[in-house]
Amino acid sequence: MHKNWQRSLAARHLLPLLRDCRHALSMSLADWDDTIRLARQARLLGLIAGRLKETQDLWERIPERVRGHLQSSINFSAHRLQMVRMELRALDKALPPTIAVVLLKGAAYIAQNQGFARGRMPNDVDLLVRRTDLDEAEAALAAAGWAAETTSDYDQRYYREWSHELPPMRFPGHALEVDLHHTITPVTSRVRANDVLLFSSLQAIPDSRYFTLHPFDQIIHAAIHLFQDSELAGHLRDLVDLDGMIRRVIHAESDWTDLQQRADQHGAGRYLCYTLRYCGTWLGTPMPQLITLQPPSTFVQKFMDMILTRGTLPRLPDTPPSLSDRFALQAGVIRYHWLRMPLKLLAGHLIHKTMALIRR
Amino acid sequence: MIRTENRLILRRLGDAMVIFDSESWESHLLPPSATIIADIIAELSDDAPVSSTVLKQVLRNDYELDPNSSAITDFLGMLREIGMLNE
Amino acid sequence: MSIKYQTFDTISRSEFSSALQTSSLNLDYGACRVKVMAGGIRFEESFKVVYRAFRFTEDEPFSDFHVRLHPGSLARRLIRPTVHFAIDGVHPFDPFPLSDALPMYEWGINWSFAQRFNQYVLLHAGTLALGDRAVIMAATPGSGKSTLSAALMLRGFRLLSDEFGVLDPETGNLLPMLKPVALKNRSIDVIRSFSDDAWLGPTFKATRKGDVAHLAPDEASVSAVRQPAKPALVIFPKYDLGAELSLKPQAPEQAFARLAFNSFNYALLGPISFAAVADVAASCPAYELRYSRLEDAVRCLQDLLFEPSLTNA
Repeated sequence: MHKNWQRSLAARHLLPLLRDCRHALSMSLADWDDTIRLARQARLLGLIAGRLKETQDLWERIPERVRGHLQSSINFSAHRLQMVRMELRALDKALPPTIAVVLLKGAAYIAQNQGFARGRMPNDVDLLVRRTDLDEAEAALAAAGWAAETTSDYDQRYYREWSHELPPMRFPGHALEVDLHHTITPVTSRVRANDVLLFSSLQAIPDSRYFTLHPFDQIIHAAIHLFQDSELAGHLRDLVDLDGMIRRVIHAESDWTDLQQRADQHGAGRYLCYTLRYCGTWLGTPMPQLITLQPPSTFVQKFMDMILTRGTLPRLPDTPPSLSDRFALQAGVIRYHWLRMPLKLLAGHLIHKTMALIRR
Repeated sequence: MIRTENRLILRRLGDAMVIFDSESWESHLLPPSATIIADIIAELSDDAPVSSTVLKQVLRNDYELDPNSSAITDFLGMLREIGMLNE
Repeated sequence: MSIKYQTFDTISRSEFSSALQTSSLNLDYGACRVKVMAGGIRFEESFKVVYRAFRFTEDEPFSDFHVRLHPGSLARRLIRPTVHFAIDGVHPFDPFPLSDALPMYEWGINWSFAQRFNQYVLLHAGTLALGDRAVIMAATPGSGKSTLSAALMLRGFRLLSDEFGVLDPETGNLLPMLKPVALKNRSIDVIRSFSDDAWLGPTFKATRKGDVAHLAPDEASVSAVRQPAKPALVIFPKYDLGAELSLKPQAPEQAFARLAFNSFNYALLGPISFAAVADVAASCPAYELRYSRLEDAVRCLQDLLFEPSLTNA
């Protein structure tokens, strides 16, 4: 893999800290100055704080002022988690008990009490229901007081026809948005997950009416989301989640084989390959010796490496992105749109967005 | 500090009481008059929420308070809401 | 042997300017240390007055925030020059006119502190101390707490902060967040004539908050910027023109409720702030103080704070 990433500031302390939190013992105050800023940028401050705090002899050896920032993010995150719990309780009351509701992403990790979910600062709750239940679910939420946030008719139509989710809804006064999905990938994207497979393998959460996806599907969903999303910047957080999920459920060789097969069934073999590559290199995720996935061509691989390194690893905010960094970010954005929409639709969508910007 | 069912944290402040509900993260204030009733509940409690029938009996028989007066009914409603009292 | 250090009052203007350009200007507010970069802003003169007693240091390995002030785009500079505030690359507010750089900086630091320092319970209050006993003055509307804080400092109290009661939930102590006191409108002249030792920065006319001028924290307060203080008294001040001085005791649960309402992050901290505020309410006598003459209010608070063994049953 391109060695460029090793020269990035994030590689000096942030990545080593994520691989092994005992790395903190070798960090100076000046090292912490950069690292706190990068971690904040990457939305990882809460996670790192949580890991450091649960190792008693480690926590006490961290400089006091650094501990202050870490504790602050722990406190902030605890409040956010409380808000997620309350939103889920309120949604439970509003949604008919006959509808199976699946928690996705952050909400799922929190409800399952996943270690890597600590320190999250969620802004929304992602739910998945069957396409056939969607209208009833939406109506129930609206009747209970949730209101759609997007007002433009064009945006409403975009969401309903092409996307995988409804326009975000919010209960007035609540801090969290609710995103109601009926599938996990946009209707028009190149890689469509296998909905039948998803819904046939749901896992119940104990003492709750909510479900989560099968652990392998959670991994694959996160991988698809990561590599098909427009904001590659800030996705180090998502790689950390993937690392956490993989460590939790993949142990034996057979698990790897099953995961690969599952990914292929969703048409997401390539994304799994990318995921393992970056998780392994940056986060030290344990890897099988033999990966029999279809590797992309060298050119595509180098291109992805460039985008990921430039776009995904956090940078100190005061340094403006270099020309090549900006190109990388832009390339990521174009790629995202290409993956999501057929060319004809894309042109129309982008033109509309530009007009809206000009009018503002 | 007293915890009720691990959900409520109670702190005595002078003759009054402040309560933190760890389920809703809301804080409540019990003025001195209401605190007396909270004390009674604590006595009857034994680590579980108190039945409101039992409480009303105690208020009437032992303390000569009319449990059906509007002030007390309102207050009991609040205690029920925060989980200190069972139906 | 005391180590000689420079203050903002004693350093040269060119040293100061060059530090601002290269992001090596450091400010120690006590609870928080800030690194500032501000090339092309030209607020050195006013800064040197309101931060006169603060230490000038160039070496600081760890800063709690990295703040940058910069002018607006070149084109804009010709029409109406503006100044932008950024913290770690984020611009939280609309730009201010360039002439209002100092108020913008002060406001920006307060905002950033309230956002990021959730390891402490942040009361909205003026906090001052005599020795290590502190008074918390809740910042309710019409309290005149900034004016009162300024007056108390000028009469010998140590100023911890005129805006934040920084309560450490682990120790129960209050920490300084020592900044120039922002005085508004009539208060500016009142404080100017209150003491010859009052060092005031320039008056910024008609900002978003009316006329604003800043009182420099004195040397005694600055040198104690790393010293915590124990809460000993809670006051709810009420400025009432022409009124007789009156002191009305507050029941502890009243003090609890009023402090919780007057805080930046009570709701956010949940059980942590519940316990910390209950501790303060349980251990400190609380009063509503109605006053019209500053001198009377100052004397009253001196008496209250000096009174030995003030406890709440």
